[in-house]
Amino acid sequence: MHLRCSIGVVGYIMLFVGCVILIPTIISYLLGEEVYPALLVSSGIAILAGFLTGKLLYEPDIELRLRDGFFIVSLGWIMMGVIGAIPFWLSGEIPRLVDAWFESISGFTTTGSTILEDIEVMPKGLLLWRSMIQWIGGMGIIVLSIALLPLLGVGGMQLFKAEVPGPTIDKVKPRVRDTAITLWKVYVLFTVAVGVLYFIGGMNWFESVCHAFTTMATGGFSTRNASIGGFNSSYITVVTTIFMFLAGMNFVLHYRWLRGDYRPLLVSTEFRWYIGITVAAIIFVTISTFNTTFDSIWTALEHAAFQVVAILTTTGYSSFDYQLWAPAVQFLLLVFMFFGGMAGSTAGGIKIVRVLLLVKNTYYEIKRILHPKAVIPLTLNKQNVTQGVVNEIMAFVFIFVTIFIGGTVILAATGIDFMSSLGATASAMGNIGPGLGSVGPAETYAHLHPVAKMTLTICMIMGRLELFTIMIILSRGFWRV
Amino acid sequence: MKIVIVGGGEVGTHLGRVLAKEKHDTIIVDKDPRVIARINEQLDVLALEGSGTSPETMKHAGTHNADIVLAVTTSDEVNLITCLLAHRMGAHRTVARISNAEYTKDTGVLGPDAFHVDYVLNPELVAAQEIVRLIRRSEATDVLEFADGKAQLLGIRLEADSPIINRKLKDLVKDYHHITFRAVAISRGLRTIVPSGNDVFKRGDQVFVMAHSEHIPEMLRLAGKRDKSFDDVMVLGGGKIGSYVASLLQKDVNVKLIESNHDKSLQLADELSDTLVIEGDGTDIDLLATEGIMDMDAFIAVTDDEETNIISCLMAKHLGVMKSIALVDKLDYIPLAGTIGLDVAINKKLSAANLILKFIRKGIVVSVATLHGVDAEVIEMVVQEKSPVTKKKLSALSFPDGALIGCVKHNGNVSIPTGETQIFPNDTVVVFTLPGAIKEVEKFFGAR
Repeated sequence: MHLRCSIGVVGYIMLFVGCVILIPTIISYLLGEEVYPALLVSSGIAILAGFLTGKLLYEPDIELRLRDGFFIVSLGWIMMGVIGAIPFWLSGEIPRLVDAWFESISGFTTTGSTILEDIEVMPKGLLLWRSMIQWIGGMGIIVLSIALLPLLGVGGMQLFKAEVPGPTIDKVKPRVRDTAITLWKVYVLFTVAVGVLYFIGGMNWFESVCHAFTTMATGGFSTRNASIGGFNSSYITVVTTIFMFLAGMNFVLHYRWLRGDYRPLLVSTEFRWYIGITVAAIIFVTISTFNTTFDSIWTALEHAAFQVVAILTTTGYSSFDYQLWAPAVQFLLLVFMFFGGMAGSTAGGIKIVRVLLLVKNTYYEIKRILHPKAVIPLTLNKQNVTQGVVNEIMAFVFIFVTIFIGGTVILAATGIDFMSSLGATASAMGNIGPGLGSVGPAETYAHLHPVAKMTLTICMIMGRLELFTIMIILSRGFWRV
Repeated sequence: MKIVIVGGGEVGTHLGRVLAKEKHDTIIVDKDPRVIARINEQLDVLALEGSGTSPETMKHAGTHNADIVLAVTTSDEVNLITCLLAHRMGAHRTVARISNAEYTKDTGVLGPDAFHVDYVLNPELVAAQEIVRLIRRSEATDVLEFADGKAQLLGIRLEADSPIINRKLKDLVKDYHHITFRAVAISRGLRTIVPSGNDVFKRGDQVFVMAHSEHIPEMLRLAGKRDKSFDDVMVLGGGKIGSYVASLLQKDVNVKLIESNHDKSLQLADELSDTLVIEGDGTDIDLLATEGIMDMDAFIAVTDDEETNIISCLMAKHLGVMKSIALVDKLDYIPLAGTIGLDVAINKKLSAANLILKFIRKGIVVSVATLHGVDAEVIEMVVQEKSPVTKKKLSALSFPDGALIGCVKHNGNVSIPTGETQIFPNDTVVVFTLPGAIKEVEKFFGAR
């Protein structure tokens, strides 16, 4: 493994993030806020540290391998979390380090859990930074680096695989760099579109930008304490629902249909499941909330659709406190926290394709037991799925559940009630945001014990990088030659 | 450029690696999912599972707007059909790897043209030709041909009795003005020097000289070599390469060909009238001794088994044969050749891939070659209209350090340029350059 060179690459990624901090710095300065020096210093620290690390350790001739990829992505995400936390801490708006770290990781992993009791009093510069980290984390900082930094050209595929969600990757272009550029282009396009629609709907420019960032990233940070519900606008609720749904789709499919190629969309089994699950859940929630919580079927539909999509795509905005709904609905939403969106989207969770393959495989397994000699291949979109992929998915789900249980136990041990522990861990693993109980949509994570906060950030990174990357780094075999 | 490679074997993989590094959009198609997985892991290309003869797969690979389709599977028939399909789908150019000479013969009823193949590559023939070149220039460490064979680049190691040792390059040019040559590089120890007039030759230097093909023997004499051509050559293995080598050499060299298979030896004896075909086991030292291996000038081992090739070559060296050439299939073994005492390791896949690369770069860059043990490239390219190099005489241009023009072909005449030389558009030039100067050189000639 090329440890030195890998750390050097991480250095350049830090440098890059440092440059990004300059944007909220400028905005903050232009708005005449007092926090801009804190942002400027944070940017300086990141740029300097990143530049030195990169300059001293990076060697352009080294061809990075699979192992280096896992290492760079893991360390890169941790360092990004650190850099992201600096502005919050330096400005004094989030005085405790652990809280700043939590907010930063929750941002980059597009979770959207917050420890801020009152978001609306925060300086705009920091709110923008908070939304920007979600946006960058959504499509992935590594993917962005591959697109923009030529130094990651070689070995880029390894990094790409380690960051992009989903069991298999679909290259839209022969070269990784072009693929990364294409995905980012589509991402930017949608972000601009939703931003403009928000602006038309009555949000001011600042809130439009922030919400556009966090909608497309399926992040969920809002500039309002009451999240999207704070706007009291059906238009904004509907627009957000639609774009959260789009963000939960595979961006490769978006690229294809934008180019006029609708076939992949039509043949994608995962897409059909995604729509099917969403629609079925919306109907269920609408019926169960109509007449109990809402008087009008349209209001029920609006909030049901919003909340189902917000949880399923792991965005975690809220338009209504779902804790006031029937227990069955709450349980359904908890289950959805595990599902997540499609592979290759900005959503977290297990991903529809994995759920779908497991369901299919289980069904076939029953068939196979009935007909011991039958040849029943597992297929997806009419293509064979190898046993290797199925094994990987099973291992994935197993690790997911194990960490989920472990996290819940640790949280419960810090003195939180059962429902909240369960909800907070599920929410962190799936990069959603609000949980259940004392961390529900109307609450924050501020009151949790520092150990619980640290545990949750670990869950968030694990969930965002789809478990294996971090598990591999933690395995003993990785560090052996 | 968009390039589709069909066949992810060693040739395809090597091509994919080189082309991806040059930032071409490369797509590799192979039937074997394991090959696809390996390629995805190693190369920055798009790897697709499927057959090159399947319209569905080829459509998915984007053949309709591909600049070049390279069919390099091990099956001639698959390659031919792939090319035909690619042509029908709209690919600009096609290359097929074809080993069976019957398909490529001019008299063939079903030739490459029938399948719209623009360029035929026969790896076995290419390897055989390379072996023959090395045999003909027995004293050279490298032989490369440029400008359609009118100029050659030789690598020569200077012997103690060479008349040019300890002399300055500019004095030599004066003394030997009747020979057109240019020393393009000196490899001394670990250093590569691009020489100027004041550089002095030393004993043991490996000198790379660009010269008119006619003047090569004279050049070798200056280096202290007698251009001793080989008279007796033993070839081990009567496969395709072995029989090509024998048929190319048998006119003027005494060739003994050893083949273990009875039927095959009979057939070879029929085809190769001037070659002595011997049936027997090549690793049998008694047989080799009986056939006079000690008196052989060169030993060429080209059986299908690379271990046999390497071992028998080492044995031949041990017995005093001057030059041994082994066919080595595994690319990973090539760097070992020097250390274990082989003179030359030939790899048919590598040679074939280099030839394809030459074809792909056609237009601006005619060919690129790398030399053994030297960190430099030799680029043959066509000078573009309005490129900086055509503006002034060479002496008035600030030509990049670390690069030299080896020769210029103008209207079919090859000359070695001096400061007074004016280069015109559409001339072909051969440039020797250190890696750091490549970009600048390309700018000078307007390539890319």
